[in-house]
Amino acid sequence: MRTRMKELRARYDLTQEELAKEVGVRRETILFVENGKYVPSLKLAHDLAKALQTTIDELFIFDDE
Amino acid sequence: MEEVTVSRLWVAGTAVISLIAFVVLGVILGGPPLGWDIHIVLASAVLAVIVATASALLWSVRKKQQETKAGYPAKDERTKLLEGRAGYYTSFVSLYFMLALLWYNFLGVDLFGLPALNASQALIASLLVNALLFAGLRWYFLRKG
Repeated sequence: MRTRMKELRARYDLTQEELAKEVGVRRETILFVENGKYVPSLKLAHDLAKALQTTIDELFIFDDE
Repeated sequence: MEEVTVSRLWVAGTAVISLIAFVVLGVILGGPPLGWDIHIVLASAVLAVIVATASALLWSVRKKQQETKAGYPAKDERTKLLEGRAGYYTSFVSLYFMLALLWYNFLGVDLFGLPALNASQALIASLLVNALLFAGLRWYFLRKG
C-alpha cells in the first residue's frame, strides 16, 4: 500500500504532529501509515482523507499483487 | 538532539552515575580498609541496574504525560491493535511454558530425578515469563509497526 499523505501534508503545510492531533492519533501512527507499514482502519482513513481534503481512494493506493 | 538519543543518554548516564555512587558508598561504608571488594562492585552493579530501570520508567511516564498534555491520545487504534497482538502471543507462549513446567514435574522429576519446583517457584517463573514476554513483544511490535 502506498499513500499520498506526505505530498498532501506538504500541500497544506501540515506536520505529522499537527495531522496526528487533528485526527486524534499518536505521531508514530501517522509515520507508520505514511510509510505504508500500517494499514489504518476505515474510520482513521476517513478522518485522514477529510483532514487532507481528499478522498480515501485518492489518498491510499493499493498495488495489485 | 533526537529524543531517542536523549532518553538513552539519560538512562546510561543514570546507570553510570549510580554505579559510581554505589561503589564509592560501598567502599566508604562497608569495604575492607584498603578499598576494593568484588562483592561491593557486584552489589553496586545490581543497584545501578535497578536505578537505571526506574529512571527509564520515570522517563517514559514523563514523556507520556507531556504527550497527553500536548493533546495526543495515550493509546490509539494502532497501539491497541499491537498491544492486543502482543497479548495474544504472550498468552500462547505462557500456556506452553506452563505445560512445559507441568511436564518437567511429571517427567523431569519422576524419571530423571531433576529438582522439583514448588508452587511459588513455578508461579514466579510463569509470572516473569508472562510479564517480560509481553513487555518485550509490545516494545518490538510498536517499533516494527
